[in-house]
Amino acid sequence: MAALSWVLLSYRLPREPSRLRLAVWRRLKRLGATVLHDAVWLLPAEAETREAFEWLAEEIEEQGGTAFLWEASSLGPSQDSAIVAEFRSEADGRYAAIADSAAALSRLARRRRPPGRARLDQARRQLAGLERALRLESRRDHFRAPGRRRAEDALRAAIRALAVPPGGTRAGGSQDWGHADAVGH
Amino acid sequence: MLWVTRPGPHIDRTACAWLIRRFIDPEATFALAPDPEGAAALGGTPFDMRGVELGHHEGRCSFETFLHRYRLRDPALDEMAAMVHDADLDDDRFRSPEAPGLDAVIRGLGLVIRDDHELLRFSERVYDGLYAWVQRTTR
Repeated sequence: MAALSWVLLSYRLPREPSRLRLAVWRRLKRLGATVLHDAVWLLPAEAETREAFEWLAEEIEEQGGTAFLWEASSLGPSQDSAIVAEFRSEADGRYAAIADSAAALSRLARRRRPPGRARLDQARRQLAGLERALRLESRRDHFRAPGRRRAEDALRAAIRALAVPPGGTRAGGSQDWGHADAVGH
Repeated sequence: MLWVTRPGPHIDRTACAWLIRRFIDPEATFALAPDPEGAAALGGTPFDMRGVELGHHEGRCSFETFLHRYRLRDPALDEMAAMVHDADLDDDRFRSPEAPGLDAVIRGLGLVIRDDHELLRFSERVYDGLYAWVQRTTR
């Protein structure tokens, strides 16, 4: 493996207000950054990740903090492998949570005593939330963690399990189709 | 007036260039420089760069900073600002459903249009269309 290039950020913020510290931390997690020894945050170096760190550094300084940024490559490929493994393991943890929740929704739909309408609607809303969560994970998964496949499969299974049965809820649906056909000609 | 931003524009810079041309300075011309010093050397007004007034401030992206700084009050522009913010910062602040799609379109244009000036010009039509679209619902 050729040496990877990283952007690194180290920062310090005033102790108060804690709201700021939390906002910066959330932003870093959102970007999919990982932290080494509770001191240096890093992301693979790309135009986008560099820019994201630059703006974050600027905001930290605006809020009375200090920030240092580097672009660097490791001395030694084994270090890169360990860091990539850390990125993947964090992403896999999040993918597993999505896969588990999706599997729970599939089980719910397949219960011997089917859930009521209200519970089904709730389950579909939860499913939409899981789809959003998976999109976010895929965006911040910088090294294609293996758990992505399992999460995608579990989500697809849940979508099938919770699908509206044909003609199940839409009375008069056939009339709509007839109209669409007419427009088509 | 000459406006200067960093090379390789994505969502925030292309959207700002459109905003400048349509609402602030119809005669605007654009140049590219990596930093505020480069912009000063060209004698232009820098935007979407670190350490300049028309950049990211207090959690706002540059597009939002422009709206704020030039007091552009237009619900359709606010709606677009939500899309640009979410696409640029990806923090889901406005939960804009259009943001991921807009981000994909502009990034994709950046892949096929390698000339930054051409990308700024071409993406103007995307934002024209988007503005016309959001106006339908915000009027």
